[in-house]
Amino acid sequence: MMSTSKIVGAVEIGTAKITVLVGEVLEGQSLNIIGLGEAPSQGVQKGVVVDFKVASKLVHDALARAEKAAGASIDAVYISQSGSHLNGFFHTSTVNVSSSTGTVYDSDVERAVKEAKAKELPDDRVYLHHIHNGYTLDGRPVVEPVGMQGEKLSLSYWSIHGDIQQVRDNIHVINAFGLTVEEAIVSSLASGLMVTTDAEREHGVLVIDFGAGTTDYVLYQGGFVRASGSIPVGGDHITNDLSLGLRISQKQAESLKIEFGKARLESADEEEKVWLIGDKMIGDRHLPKAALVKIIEARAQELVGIIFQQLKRVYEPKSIPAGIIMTGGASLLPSLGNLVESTFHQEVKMGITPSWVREDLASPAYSTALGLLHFALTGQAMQVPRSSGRSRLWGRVAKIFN
Amino acid sequence: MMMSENHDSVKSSVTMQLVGLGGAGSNAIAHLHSCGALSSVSKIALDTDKKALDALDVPTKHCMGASLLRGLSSGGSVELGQKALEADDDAVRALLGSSDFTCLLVGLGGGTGGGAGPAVAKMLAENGSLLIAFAILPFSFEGAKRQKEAQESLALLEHHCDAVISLPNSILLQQMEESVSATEAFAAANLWFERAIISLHTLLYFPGLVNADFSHLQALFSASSGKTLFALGRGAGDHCLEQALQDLMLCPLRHIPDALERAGSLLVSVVASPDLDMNAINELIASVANTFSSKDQTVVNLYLDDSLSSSIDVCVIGVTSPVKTSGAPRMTSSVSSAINRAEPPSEEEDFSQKKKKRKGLLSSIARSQEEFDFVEESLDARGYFEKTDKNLFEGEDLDVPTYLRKGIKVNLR
Repeated sequence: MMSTSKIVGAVEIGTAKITVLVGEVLEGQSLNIIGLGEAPSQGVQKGVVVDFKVASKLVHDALARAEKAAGASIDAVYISQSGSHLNGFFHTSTVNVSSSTGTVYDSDVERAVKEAKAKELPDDRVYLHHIHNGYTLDGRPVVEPVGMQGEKLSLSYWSIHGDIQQVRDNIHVINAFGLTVEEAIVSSLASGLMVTTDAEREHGVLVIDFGAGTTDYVLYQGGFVRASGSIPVGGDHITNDLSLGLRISQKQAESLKIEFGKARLESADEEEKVWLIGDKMIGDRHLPKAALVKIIEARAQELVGIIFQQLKRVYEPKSIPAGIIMTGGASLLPSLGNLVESTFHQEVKMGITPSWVREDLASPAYSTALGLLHFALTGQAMQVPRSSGRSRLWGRVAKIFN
Repeated sequence: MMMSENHDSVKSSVTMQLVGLGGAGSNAIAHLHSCGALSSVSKIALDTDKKALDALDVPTKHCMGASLLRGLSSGGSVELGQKALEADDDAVRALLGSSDFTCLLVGLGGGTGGGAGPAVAKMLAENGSLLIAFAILPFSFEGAKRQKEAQESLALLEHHCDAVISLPNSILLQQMEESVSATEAFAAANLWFERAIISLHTLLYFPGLVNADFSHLQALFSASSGKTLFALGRGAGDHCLEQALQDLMLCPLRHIPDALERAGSLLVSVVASPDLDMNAINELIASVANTFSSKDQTVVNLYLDDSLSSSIDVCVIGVTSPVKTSGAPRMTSSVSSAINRAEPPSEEEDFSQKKKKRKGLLSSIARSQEEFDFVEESLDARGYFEKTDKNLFEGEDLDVPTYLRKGIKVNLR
């Protein structure tokens, strides 16, 4: 038999940047990254496409560039999904084991799965993922219940759903290039998978991806996704706050943020002044650094506080012994890590891409796209129990879009 | 700012009056009365609180609704404020008389100012007066009810007035030191009103080297019906121009959310000492026009005050276009065309000399426009996020800067 290979594209339509990676999946077992295409993003705000035309053109440019670099045509696309429309809930279903002997059969598992996924969503919502969160048999966690003895079988999912229209918009951008979307994957799950190890996810770890338009997070415990979310606040907000607060243009605010920005005010900043343009001509102004930092600090504190509040249900410092991992462009803001540490009372480190990734793709900027490719190869982070077909779940979404 | 003595020959016979309504408004009027520069302008204070009125030094004051409230305050009630005026309708109407130009000063957020404000504005508008209202908005800590009432009164005021310039107390407070008291904040508001009204007064009554007058002001406000932009800047000493420009950018009257909008039509009024370099002043005017205007409709008034030295005051008044224009403003034609429209100060004795000076001014403004190129991006009320849905989290719009929502003080100086 001939060896089969499939060319997959991983597309992240970010608020600041569009990234396309092309991977070759061999025999469904190994992956080669063969192409990269990038474009600065426009028409995307807070993680959501707001100008379809502009965004499409730029995504198509990046796709064309990536295909050219790879020297191959993409067969199918995995796309990341972010934005405030994403919501998740934790749901557990319990069924009575039906056989008289008390042995768990496939049919019991299937009933539990069906029930766990049965919760209907409003018409404008669609499930993106049902993420398996483990079985318990009579209250004991079990990895594989079939064949075991018991009375009550429970199964939990962290289910993520999104706004149909917004998921559809992303898919249409790809379709307009003549490609089909194999799967839409929530960004935090993709990047989270890349910057953590199996061991960290097993022990418990929180990943926060500070992007330009959104801040996405995912909390792993016992190897499962316990919670995830997307806050529609990112680096763009800091820039906008500075622009409005200091009465300067977005461009000036962006460069001040990059040059002088930090998440915490220190006493040394109090007396310092920074020049707005730097040429000290008419129109240039000096601004107190304290004003700049205070505006950023207020925003960063609020953002981290919101994430903390969203995780209250599941979070305590000892629940994530592997600590907190930060990634994303806005995570480069100095002293943001300090602020996260003092809010969560846990250690913070910057995300590192696994060693198998090519050096030029090791920046946190690529972690989401790499994660998408990883999904294409394994589907691993879904933690899908063998009896629940991923294709069936996606079949439902696909039906809506075709 | 002191006016020099040799300009008794006013350039127009326009009549101007200042009306203060409610506690904050009357208080502001009393403050303005103490300013020498405005001594000849008629001033009226209206309030329900007789005791507070008695304590003020204002030429004309009237206690409204005495039959209803027995000279007590309206206790923050919009309804009582309204009723007090209704009970005294004829008397107030007679008092207001008819004036070409009226500045109405009022504190919004309940009470006499908020309650009677819109009706008083209506009376003034019916009298045919060009009407600019200066409104103090409540502190954010004064609660949602007051904020809501203030917004409602503000909307009504905007309906009746040619322009409404609002000054939110929370923004004012933000610009001040950490330990400032509420009284000091009110005093600061009064100082801003003083500067604003003196600027308008100068524009109307003192002939400029480049001249604009009451008709320009009228035309400005009749041309479009958008939001009012108003900003003041002041500089003194060796670097007075830079200072004035910086001061202008930080002016609390130019507050969020209108902070970075551009005006469809714009009036820039400058009072400068004669010792300043004309080219530098031109650069400043061109730069101001560049920053604030969206189209080629900028009218300039430049008045040289002989009593000053090394000092400059800039006042910018504009109205945003109801329909937003995108892209960079086309400034090249703007300032010069506007100046061409302005009439020369014909009654001046040393006219020919000034005319020469003015000619030089025109050519150098045209030149400086090319040199000036710090064009800000066109921005809207919520800044970059203007066109997106509100970002609601627990009742707060996360797209609005956090420091503003939380009332964190940021000192920009």
